[in-house]
Formats: sequence, C-alpha cells, structure tokens
Amino acid sequence: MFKTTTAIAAVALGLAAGPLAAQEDFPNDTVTIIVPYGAGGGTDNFVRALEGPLEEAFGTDVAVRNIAGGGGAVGLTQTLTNEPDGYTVTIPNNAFYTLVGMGNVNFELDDFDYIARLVTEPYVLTLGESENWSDLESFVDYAEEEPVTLGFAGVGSSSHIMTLAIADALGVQVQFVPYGGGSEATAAALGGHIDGVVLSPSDVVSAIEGEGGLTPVASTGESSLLPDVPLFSDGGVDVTADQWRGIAAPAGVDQAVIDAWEAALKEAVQDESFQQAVDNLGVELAPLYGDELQQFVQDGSDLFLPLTESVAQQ
Amino acid sequence: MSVLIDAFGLIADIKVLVAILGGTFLGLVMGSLPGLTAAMAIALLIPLTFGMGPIMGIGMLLGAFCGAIAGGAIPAILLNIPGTPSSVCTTLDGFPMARKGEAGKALGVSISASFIGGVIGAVLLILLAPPIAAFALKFGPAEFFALGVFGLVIIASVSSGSMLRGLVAGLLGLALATVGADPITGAMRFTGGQPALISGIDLLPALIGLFAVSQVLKDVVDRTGADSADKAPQNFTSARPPWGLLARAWRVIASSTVIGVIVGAIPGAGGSISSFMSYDQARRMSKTPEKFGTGHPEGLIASESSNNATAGGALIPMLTLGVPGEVATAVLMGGLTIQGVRPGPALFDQQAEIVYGIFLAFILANLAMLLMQLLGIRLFVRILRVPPRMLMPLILMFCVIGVYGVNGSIFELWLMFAFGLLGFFLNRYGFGTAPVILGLILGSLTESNLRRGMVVFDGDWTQFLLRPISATLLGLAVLFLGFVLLQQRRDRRRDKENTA
Repeated sequence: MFKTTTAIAAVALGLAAGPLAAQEDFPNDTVTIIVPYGAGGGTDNFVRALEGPLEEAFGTDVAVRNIAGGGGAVGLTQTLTNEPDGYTVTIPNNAFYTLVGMGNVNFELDDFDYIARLVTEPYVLTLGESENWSDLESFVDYAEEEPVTLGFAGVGSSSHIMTLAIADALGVQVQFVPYGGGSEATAAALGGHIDGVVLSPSDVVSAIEGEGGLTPVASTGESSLLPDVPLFSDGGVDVTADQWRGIAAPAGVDQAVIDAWEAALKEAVQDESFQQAVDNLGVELAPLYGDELQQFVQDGSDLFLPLTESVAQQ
Repeated sequence: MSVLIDAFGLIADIKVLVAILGGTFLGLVMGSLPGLTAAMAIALLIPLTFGMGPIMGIGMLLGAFCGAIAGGAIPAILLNIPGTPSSVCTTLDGFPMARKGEAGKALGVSISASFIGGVIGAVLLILLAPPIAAFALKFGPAEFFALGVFGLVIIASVSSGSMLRGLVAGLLGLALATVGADPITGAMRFTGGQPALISGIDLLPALIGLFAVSQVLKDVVDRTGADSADKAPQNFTSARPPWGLLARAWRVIASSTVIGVIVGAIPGAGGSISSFMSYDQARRMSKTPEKFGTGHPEGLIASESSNNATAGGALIPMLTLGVPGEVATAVLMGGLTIQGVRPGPALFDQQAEIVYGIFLAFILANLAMLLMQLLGIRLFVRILRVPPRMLMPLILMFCVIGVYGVNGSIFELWLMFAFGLLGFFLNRYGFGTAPVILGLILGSLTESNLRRGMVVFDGDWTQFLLRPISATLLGLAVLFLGFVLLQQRRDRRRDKENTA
C-alpha cells in the first residue's frame, strides 16, 4: 500500500516536473531580441548595450535582429509570428500605442505580454530664440493669441501625439509640423523655420548649447541630461507621459518564463557597462515589472490611443 | 595650438592607427559590396567599439565612413553596379571607361578624385565649419522644395540619349515616391496593407534592383549559352593615379567639392544628391558636354570628388550643432554618443582635443583609403577576369544578403527583384535607371517640403518664390531647363541640315 502511494506520488511528481523542468531551465537555447528599427539607431544601441550583460545573466547566447520598416510595424508584426515561449522578444515603447491607434498594423496591444520596462526618457518642449518668450509662461501668453508652429518626429509618432497633448493641456494655438526625424525637426527650429519642437532630451541637448541655441522650457518628466528644466506638472499642467523601452513577447508566455526573464533583467541592469551606456545615451534607468508595469502600459494606452485615433481620422 | 598637439598625442598611438586602418579596410569591403551602405558599415562596427577608448572607437567608425563611400565606386566602375547610393553617378562614365579597356585608368581616376574630394572636404570642415553650418540652417521648407525642383532638372543631364525617355523614367521615380504614409496627414497611399511600405519605398532595394539585379538579368539574356567574352583587353599600365589629368580638371574638382560639402552639410538633403548635382554642373562647365556618359574622366572626377567631400560636409552640422547631416552621420553620432562623446557646440569648449582628434582621424582615414585602394587596383580589376557565369550568381547572392541584412524583411527582397525586372526593361528600351533613382530621392524631398511649407507659411505659396535662396534655386532651375531645351532644338536643327 505504502509502495503504491509512493509510486503514484512519484508518477504525479514526474508528470508535474516534466513541463516545469522545461520552464525552469529557461533559457537553454539562444534568445532572440527583435529590434523593430535599423542598426545604429537609439533603440538598437540600447539593445546592443544590454546584449552582453543579458548573456551573462542567462548563461546563453542573446542574438539581436534588426527588422526595420514602417516605423516599427514590420518588426513587431514579425515578432508575433513566433511562439510565445520567451525565446523571441521585442522592444516595446510608445510606438505600440500610436501604430495601433493610426490603424497601421493588424495587431492589438494585448497580443503582447509585457515583461519589463527598463529605461524611460521624457518629452521636452524646446523653443527657438524669440523676443516673444523666454519661458513656458510667456510662451503660453503669446501662443494663446497668436498661433505657433511646433515640429516633431513624424506624423502619427509618439512625439506628434505628445505635441497634441501638450497643446491641449496648455490651451494654446499650434500648427503641427511633422518632420522626417528628430534631427530634421531640431535643425528646423535652430534655423528659425518653426517656433519649437517636442522631442526627447537626447534629440535637443546639443542644440541648446552655443549662441542662438534652443531653450527647453518644460519637460514631461525628470531627465539627467536636462536637470534644470522644470516639469509641466510644476506649473500645474498635467502632462506626465514618458517615452520608454522594455521587453515584450508574443502573448501567452508561461509565468515561469516571465519570472526567469525578470530575474535575468534585474541582474543585467546592475551591470556597470550597461549603466554607463544608459547614462551616455541620456535615458533614465527605471525598471518596472509585474502589476505596476501592466498599470503603466494601461495608462499609456489610455492617453495615447484616443489622441492617435483623432489624428488618424483627420 | 596646444590643442592640436594634444590631439596628435591622442592619434599617435599604434592601437588608434590600427583601428583607423581596420575601419577603413572594412568600410572599403562593405562599400564595394552592393547593399551594404556607409550607414550600415558604421552600424555594424559600433558594437565592436564598446570596449575601446573614445578616440580609438571614433577613428574606426570614421575609417568605415570614408572607406565605404570610396569603396562604392569599385563595383560601379567594373560592373555598372553602384556599391552605395552615392556612387550612382560614378556608373555613368566609369562603366563605359571599363568597357573601353580603361578599367585601371578609371579606378585610378576615381580613387585619386575620392582622396582629393575627401581631403578638401576635411580642410573645409576644419576651417569653415561654423559659417557653413549657419548657411545650412537657412534651409527651411521653401529652400528644400527649391533644391528638389533644381535637382529634377538634372534628370535631363543623366538621361543617356533621348531626353523624353529620361523624363518618363524620372516621372516614374516621382510616382513611386508617393507610395507610403502621407508625410503630413499620415493617410496611407498605395501601400496595399503592406507594413514595409508605410514609410515609403526603401531606397536600397530600389537601387540594388534597378542597377545590380537588372545587370545580372541583362547578362543572362545577352549570353544565353555561349560564354563569349567580347571585352576589350584591359590596359593595366595605366593603373596609376593620373595627377596630371586631375590637375587639368581643377575646375571640376573645385565645383564638385564645394557642392559636396554644402549639400552634405544641409541636414535632411541626403548625401546622394550631391554627386548628381556635381555631375550636372561639370557637364555644364565642360567644353565637350556630349562626351559625358560615354566614358569621360571628367564625369567620374565630378561624381567621386563630390561624394567624398560630402562626408566632410556631413560632419559639419554634426560637430558644430549636434545635428547629423544624413543617415550615415546619424548612425555615426549614435556611435559617438555611446562612447560618451556627445557632438555639439559644448564638445568644442570642453573636449577640443577630441574634436581635433576627429579631424586628424578623418584625414588619416582618407590617406589610408587612398593607399589601400591604389595597392588594390590590380586585385580589383581581376574581378573582370572572373567568367560571368560565376560572377553573376555571386553578385545576385551579395544583393540578397545586402538587402535582407539591412532591414531583415522578405518583402524588400521581392521589391528588389521587381525593381530588377523594371530596370532590365528600362535599360533595354533606352529609358535608363538613374533618372528613376533621382525621382525617387527627390520626390519625397520635394513633396514633403512643399506640404510642410504650406503648413508653416499658413497657405501662403508666394513664400516659396520670395525667399532669397529659394528664389535663386528656382530661377537657376528655369534658366538651366531653358538652356537644355534651346540646345536640343539647335541640335535637332543641325541634324536636319546634315541629313538634308
């Protein structure tokens, strides 16, 4: 009797241990990170910096694949054709909301499992030189009466949506001017062709140096590159969304695999060379996992989706 | 002065020199493979620089930048396949020279013109960066629009034979440039639900298809079965830098390098336009414009001195303003940033020795590029001895690797093959492929800036005509177009008289 029980228990344990073992030794093969943008861009450089420390934490190879095109649409669509086993992941950011909102892709936000947020950077309202303004207050006073031109990186991009959100919150009249990328928009503001831009700190930090440079007047969040710039919320304006980068996989990943990812990422972000790279890139290390992360993604979706849909309908 | 000595101290380190040499070598190799552009060469090397000191990593990336732009000329001359977008114009006269048995001479001309262009570009970068950057910033929507229109006139210059056919090919390029999301409203145009087309037709698959795949197809059709090489014997004794020829062409070099530096310095204009503009200008200045396109060294000099000067020009806004001039410098700037070196005005104040180190490394990279290529000419020319039945499959393989390697998209491979078929028929019926590429590049520049201008100027289109730079460029465009049409009419009348 005792023997039978042990045998049954052993079999039961064995059955339970089978799939569990497969998840517990995750990863035992190469992990692929799909970067939905070209090699050498901001996202790519960030992932290349993470690659080494992550390999150490996982004890396996980590491969980085660039699948660019359509402002991220091609790479993200391609990611979803993979099994939800945690071996193929991609880099989520605010473009997830804007691609869905513009109707440019045929996936939904919950087609992905969000595993982590690793870094963030705010959006900064940065203005060209003018006698009409010197700070946020004087700019708002002016722009309530006279329409101003604000540039950003691409129609339907997250910087476009944030320009809308900022114009809304400030109650000013804005002509929205899409550029091909952040550097083109910055150059246009430097040349006085537009009144200002809404971009990341790393896009504008060099342009605020020197004579006739731009002035960052308000930011949606703290930035180590622009420590002295006031936040919108300091002036009672409620715009707080940050750009972010993290890890996401096709939906349906086992909890044990997600746990393994979290453990590895928590170890990788401690790496000194990674932290140095994050510092050099001018983004903030702000890891977030689990329920807090899900809430963060939900908040982003609540802000970006309706605004993007309003742009798409025009 | 002490800053310059400090900079010399940074560079005069065997590890730094090896990094510059290695970067230049890899750049040359990647530039000469169709599909791998300068931007890609730099991007591939960035992870390698992670463990290096700043000036060592920067030297390697700058070497790759110079090498890739110069290396693009090799397949352009030998095989009629531009290795990078900026060597499209190099095919126009380089390949006919190779066909005449002057491949060695063509390479010698191209390599030394590249070197001179690169060095003059570097000198202008060192001496005149701030005023050039200030001029470049004057380019707003109206000026970009005018630049685009001015560029479209060049189609008349680069269409071999019939201008009407050239214009048809150019219009085709313009039409293809409308594919993708509308630059102002974001509405989808002709994308057919294909995510890869949202941001428009990528230049690379179009370029590789039109020039490389079409060339392979032509070869297959031309020699179905019989492998009879009917090429002129190659004259190898001429594979030396023809300094005398270059000295006589000083006016071409002067105008091409100035155009290269200025167009390179304008953020958003795109480096590949400069070689077209220089080629066009050289043809206009020439006493023998009819020789252009038939294997005329001046055309080759214009294209190659200009595209290498563009590299120096593109570094100007990056170093002085922190705004990259075009794609390759954008990637380069990312590479510098991750090294902890943030280009911009503050870099001059705080780490001037790094800036001067960049200047020196850039000049050294140009020297390395010259020496390596001169040593390699005899090796490069051997490509022509490879039987086409082996060479053509190899070219096709590199095309596929190149296009797939950049964006990792299968759709773009199909796009490449479609453009290959298109290019094959365009060449067969005398339309040419260079105007299509020019239309594709200029179409989006012209359209997005016209539309952007209408937003910024609040619907006042007269701004496009009233702003000084814009008015000058548009005026020149009309003048040159009139000149071309007049010349055509005169030619036709003369032909009539001759036949009568």
